[in-house]
Amino acid sequence: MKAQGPNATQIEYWNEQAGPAWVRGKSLIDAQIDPLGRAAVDAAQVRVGESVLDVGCGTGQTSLLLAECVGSDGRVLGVDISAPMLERARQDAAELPQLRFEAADAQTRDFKRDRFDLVFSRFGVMFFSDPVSGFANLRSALDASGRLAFVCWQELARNAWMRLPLQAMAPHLELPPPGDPEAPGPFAFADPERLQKILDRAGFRATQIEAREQSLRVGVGGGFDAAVDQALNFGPAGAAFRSAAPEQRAAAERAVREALTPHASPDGVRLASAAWIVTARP
Amino acid sequence: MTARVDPELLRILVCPRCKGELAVRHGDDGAEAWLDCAACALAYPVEDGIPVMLVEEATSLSDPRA
Repeated sequence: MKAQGPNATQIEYWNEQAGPAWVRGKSLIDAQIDPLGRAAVDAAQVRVGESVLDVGCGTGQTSLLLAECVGSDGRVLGVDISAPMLERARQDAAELPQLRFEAADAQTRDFKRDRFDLVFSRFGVMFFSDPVSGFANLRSALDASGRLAFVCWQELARNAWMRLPLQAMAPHLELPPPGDPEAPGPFAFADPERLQKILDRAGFRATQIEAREQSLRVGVGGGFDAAVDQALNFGPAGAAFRSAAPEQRAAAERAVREALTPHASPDGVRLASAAWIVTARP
Repeated sequence: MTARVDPELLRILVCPRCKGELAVRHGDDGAEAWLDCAACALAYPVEDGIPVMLVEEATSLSDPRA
């Protein structure tokens, strides 16, 4: 039997299923969520020469941005549980010696031997099986004068980029029933009071949770078909769509096309999103 | 060319299971191929220069693939 850590389910999901799909969709996903990553980087106030930990860095777009911010005297360590996504991240990082990647579980990785000025994450901290111990561990990675800065999603109802396709597909697919809203997943920190309590219990202070609304460009560069493909294949309904019968898939695709059509623009499909930009001190 | 692990990163890595020291094992091409934890009898693979420090992805040291 294989040894297993506390996030074994997520590790399997991000290595076997989601990781390879995100590598294929990298350019579209990056374009879609880049404005929110930049908003979090702005909130983090990164300075030249700093050391930064990028948690859940995935295919590395924010790690590259952070590496440019800290310059060659700084350093950035991108960690993610998905080895396939890190391999993709590395392809763009060869020119930047200050940027390194490691496949590791940030909830449990030992940070005794290295300390960071900034712990950063773009949508990578909502998947811990035990968020309090996860954030307490991230706190252990920070210098006393360091800070935490991340962006996470508000509730699904306020995120049309995911809600619209999901509602359109639901009648045609056998979707898993909505689970515990606090279970690990993209919307685990939708409730800001819960998020505040988690950070308090993990030992963070001076927490600021700011709402950010952002129109996202879905499928930009790939046209309307790319937006439809992305809506069908990513997120909670992706697995159900891929395993559905051909006629169900066709019906789901028709419904998603119809739902996205009113939002199409020359600049991609424009859909609303709402996130929390969070900063805190150790 | 096979990617190498950053030496500074290599110095700070520990076994994610027992937090103990790791021994570097090199492949035929001279690059780091495995990071071994003798205490846990687990070998952590290095893929394209990226250390994979996940017990779920580790191989038992008694496994001939390691």
